Amino acid sequence: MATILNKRDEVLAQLAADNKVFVMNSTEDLAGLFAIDQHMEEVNRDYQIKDRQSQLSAATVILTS
Amino acid sequence: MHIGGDIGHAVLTIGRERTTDNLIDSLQVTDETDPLIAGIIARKRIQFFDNDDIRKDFVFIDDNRPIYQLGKINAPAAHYPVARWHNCEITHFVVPLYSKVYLEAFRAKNLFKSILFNLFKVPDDSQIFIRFYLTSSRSFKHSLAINTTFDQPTKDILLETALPKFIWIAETSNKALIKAKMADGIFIFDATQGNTQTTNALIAASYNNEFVFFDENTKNFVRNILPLHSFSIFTNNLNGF
Repeated sequence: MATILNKRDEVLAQLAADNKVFVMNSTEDLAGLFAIDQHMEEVNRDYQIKDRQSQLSAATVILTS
Repeated sequence: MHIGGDIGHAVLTIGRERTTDNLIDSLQVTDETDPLIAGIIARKRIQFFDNDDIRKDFVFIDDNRPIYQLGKINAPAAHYPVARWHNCEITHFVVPLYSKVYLEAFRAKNLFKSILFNLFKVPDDSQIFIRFYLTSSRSFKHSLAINTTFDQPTKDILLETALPKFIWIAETSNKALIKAKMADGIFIFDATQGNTQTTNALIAASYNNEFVFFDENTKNFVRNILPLHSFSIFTNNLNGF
């Protein structure tokens, strides 16, 4: 019978057995994730403005030569 | 109207020169425009270098001129014989990407920086050189599988992680290390992820002895203590990076 090798699970199981795995739900981690979300909200807003301006500006381009 | 006057022209850019040690040495600290990231960099006194800031020559093709002309991106027509063309600048550009690449470079790179500085302990006074690129997961896994310098446990995890067709990769290094074409950290993002409001696009990241990935079982990000030593950077279709 064929044996399915899964090295990924083996490595992760070994890390868990060695107490080297931490679910990122501590206050510090959640604050970090929240900061990323907030930052990305700003980035997305900035991107949408630039994207729209780029489209409007590109619509006026005329190739002359 | 731009500084090129009334000239309206289109050229193809198909490549760029190799990155040399001199170009890396002369690279200045990046002028970070994002106030939040700039604040963190200043507070931690980090020297932050971006591979994209290197002033390389690009290869231009124009049907009016001999092919494969080298020129700076801010002076794409400097090699033209007529002087009035020399001031031409790029006002718009189109980058052909696979249609399912929903995570644009601008957002992906900002997400990477945000994750680097908010989820990882970046040492104060450190020097960081970043390299950011788009590749296919097949190409990445092929390169990773034959990379003998990559630590085996992290390699095993990444090779058996389900990846989308296209991924953004960020490699962290420093000036000395990158000249040896080595890096010490890697971040992988889903380039086909449309929801960029959150950290959803992060697939896995390894930096400063920590390996972070999204665990489908607990539906949480998980931090593993798993050192990653220096490894050879990905150069498959980016020869001369």
